[in-house]
Amino acid sequence: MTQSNDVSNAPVIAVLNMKGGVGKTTISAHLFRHMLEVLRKSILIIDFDPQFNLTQTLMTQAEYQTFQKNNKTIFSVMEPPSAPTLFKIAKNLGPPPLVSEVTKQLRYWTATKKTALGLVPGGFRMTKYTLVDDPKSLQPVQKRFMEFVENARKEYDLIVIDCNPSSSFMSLCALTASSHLLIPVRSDLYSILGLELLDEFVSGLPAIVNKPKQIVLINGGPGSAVNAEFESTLRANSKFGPITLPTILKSSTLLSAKEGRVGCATDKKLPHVNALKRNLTKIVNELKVPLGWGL
Amino acid sequence: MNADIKKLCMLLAAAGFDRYGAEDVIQAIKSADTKKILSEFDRFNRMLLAGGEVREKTFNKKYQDDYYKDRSVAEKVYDLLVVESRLSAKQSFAALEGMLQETYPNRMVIAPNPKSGFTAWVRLLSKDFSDSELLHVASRIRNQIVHGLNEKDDWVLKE
Repeated sequence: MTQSNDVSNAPVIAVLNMKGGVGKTTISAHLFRHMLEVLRKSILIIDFDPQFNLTQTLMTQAEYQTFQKNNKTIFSVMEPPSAPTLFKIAKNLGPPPLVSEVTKQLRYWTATKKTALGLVPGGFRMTKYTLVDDPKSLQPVQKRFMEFVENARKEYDLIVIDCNPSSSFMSLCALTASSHLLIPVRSDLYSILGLELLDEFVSGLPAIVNKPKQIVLINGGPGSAVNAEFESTLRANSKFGPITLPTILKSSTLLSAKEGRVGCATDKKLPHVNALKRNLTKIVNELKVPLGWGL
Repeated sequence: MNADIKKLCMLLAAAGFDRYGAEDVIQAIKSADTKKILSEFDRFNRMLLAGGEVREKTFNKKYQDDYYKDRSVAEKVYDLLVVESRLSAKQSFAALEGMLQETYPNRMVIAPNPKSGFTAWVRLLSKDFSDSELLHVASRIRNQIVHGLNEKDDWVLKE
């Protein structure tokens, strides 16, 4: 464990691609869980996708229901739990909840009992922000979210925001709060074009003054191996090639969602899990430089 | 720690196993039948005593774990230029040096030393260029040679 002080210089990574199904949730869950293991950094993962698949990966249904019942989800970060209807934003939002109030502790440091890996669970109520079309009324919501992330940066070494693939208010919030943007791409044309759309979206938004540093990660699975033509097209591109991580996240059935298998693949004693860990370790080490954690 | 276990750890480290590989070996031993392991041990011993080398076909088998093994960046650059682009070693040196200078005009490129080999030079370049940058430059050369400079009639990433 390296941090937890008042200097809020912890990186914030938004995991996003405009194309769906590129492995954002898989990466948010498994890669960053393994990062904790390898680098001993405390990490808070925020499930910012209304489909909340990340939450479903890391929490049991019973655990989630308790959190939801007690309004301990990302929605409470955006607005007070008593927020009115699906189409209206609450007035006088007030400060966001404490980070610890809405965080599910997934792993803790044995010495201090402080959270080493935390999850702010997602929720379907977040779809509200795809329906409300008054930008002015959403400003206080964004401000509240930003304040929450700033508070989290004081407590954790890294904040990860698992985003939904859209150019919505939620993406704007995530990108405004982020210092880095991790863009998973799959070995297909739409995925690579989604990368370009995202770049245009980020560049074209005046609200994002400090543009997040982009990092591209090739996600090899599930399915066949990464197409060599796809890989060389991406790597040869003058904008995206030099920011594409050398190591490819290899396809693995261990990373796919399975009924009755809640939690991270690397925490389980399954066949070939060490080969997966080796692959994840390489990616984690490659992320150290862009995240400013040196060699 | 038991001295024999220490010896086993030393052997595994010397054989190039990483922590995850060592863990796999330990787990495999735990779950394997002692008699079967000893029978394999005896077989290897007999081969050694007969003056033969110990070689195992299992190294050629396609285990799922092999899928995860990555080639080094230097090897990937070699594949892109020598294997896929069919450049000679001499041409690869010149092409990579030229493209690095063109792509990063303000940065110094260590002069190639053909005597030490192509991949050794690429490893030296890693001191000044990130692995992503080296793969970027090698992929540009590869694409220019394999596809030419003609634009594809397709949806492509803009330059």
